[in-house]
Amino acid sequence: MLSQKAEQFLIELRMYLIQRGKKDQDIQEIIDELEAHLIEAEQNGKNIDDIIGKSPKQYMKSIGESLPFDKKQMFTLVPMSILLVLAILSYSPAIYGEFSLSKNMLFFGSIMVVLSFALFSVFLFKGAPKLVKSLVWLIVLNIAVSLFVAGVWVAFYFWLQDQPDTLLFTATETQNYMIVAACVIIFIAFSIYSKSWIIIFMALSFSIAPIGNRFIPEEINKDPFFITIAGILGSIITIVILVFLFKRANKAG
Amino acid sequence: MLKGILDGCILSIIQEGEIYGYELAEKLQGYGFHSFSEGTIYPLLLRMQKENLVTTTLKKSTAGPKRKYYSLTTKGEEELEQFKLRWEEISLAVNNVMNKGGH
Repeated sequence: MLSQKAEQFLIELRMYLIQRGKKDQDIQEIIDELEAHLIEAEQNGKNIDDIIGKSPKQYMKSIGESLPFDKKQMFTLVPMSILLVLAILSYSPAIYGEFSLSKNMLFFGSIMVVLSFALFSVFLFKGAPKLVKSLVWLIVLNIAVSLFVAGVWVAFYFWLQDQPDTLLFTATETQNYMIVAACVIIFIAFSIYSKSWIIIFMALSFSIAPIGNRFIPEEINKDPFFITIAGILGSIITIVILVFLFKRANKAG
Repeated sequence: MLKGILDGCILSIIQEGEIYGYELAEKLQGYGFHSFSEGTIYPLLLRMQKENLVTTTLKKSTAGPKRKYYSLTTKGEEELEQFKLRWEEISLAVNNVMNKGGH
């Protein structure tokens, strides 16, 4: 079996190649080949440094330069991700029946989206590969980054409320339903494309609060007892889903 | 210059018969290339695949993961012949300089 150092290197190499837009199949092939080589080498008492040299970074670069850039993947992945972010942002307000667009939202909102994107990619490509062997720290870092981004968004919303703004568009009830439908189609398309359930779970968790708000009678909605029960149930469901996802991820790995 | 030489040696070893990465690295070391790290061959092999000098087939191994075997294409054979000519020229020239026996 592989040493921890070798496994760590393969993970970092994979993230490096993904980040540089290489084809999935090419990445998988070279990783498999290197893994086979590393396993055999380590069985024969060789060290990973004998194989990839003193500088892993330099070695990753030389592999990266030998693989072609996958234009097709980039041209689908980038628009898909932008659509997905737009869908995530529009989904909740549309379910509440309050979808609207304003000048500030469009201008500052897009800056915020780009910034959040940048922060998450730094986390995903620079932070996460180094921590993959210590799951606890990975989760801590993930939560920290998510909380930070969420916090910045909340601050942004509060700041935006005090700014002079022009409303450009307010959706009617039918339009709100159409936006929700469009978002659901995007979520499903992305789930099929990425072969992962995570977006569906996320969309479902976004839906619970607004739908509840719309259809549960006011008295129940304000009762602290029911709020506590809902909070506890919500956390339990979240934990179950997380455990389920981690188990699946471990099996796949 | 040294990089091209390693390319030529890899082609020459693959010509002897189908071979997979680890075995190839071992053979190179057996022939006396000690100071290079084994992984160096993979970027070179990737490039040779791209240039259609070699083809690959996946085969099951008795122990461990599948192995990727390399073999030369006709284009690879031609490239090897050209390398041999270039190498003869270079090694003759270098020898002459080292021994100062040219004139």
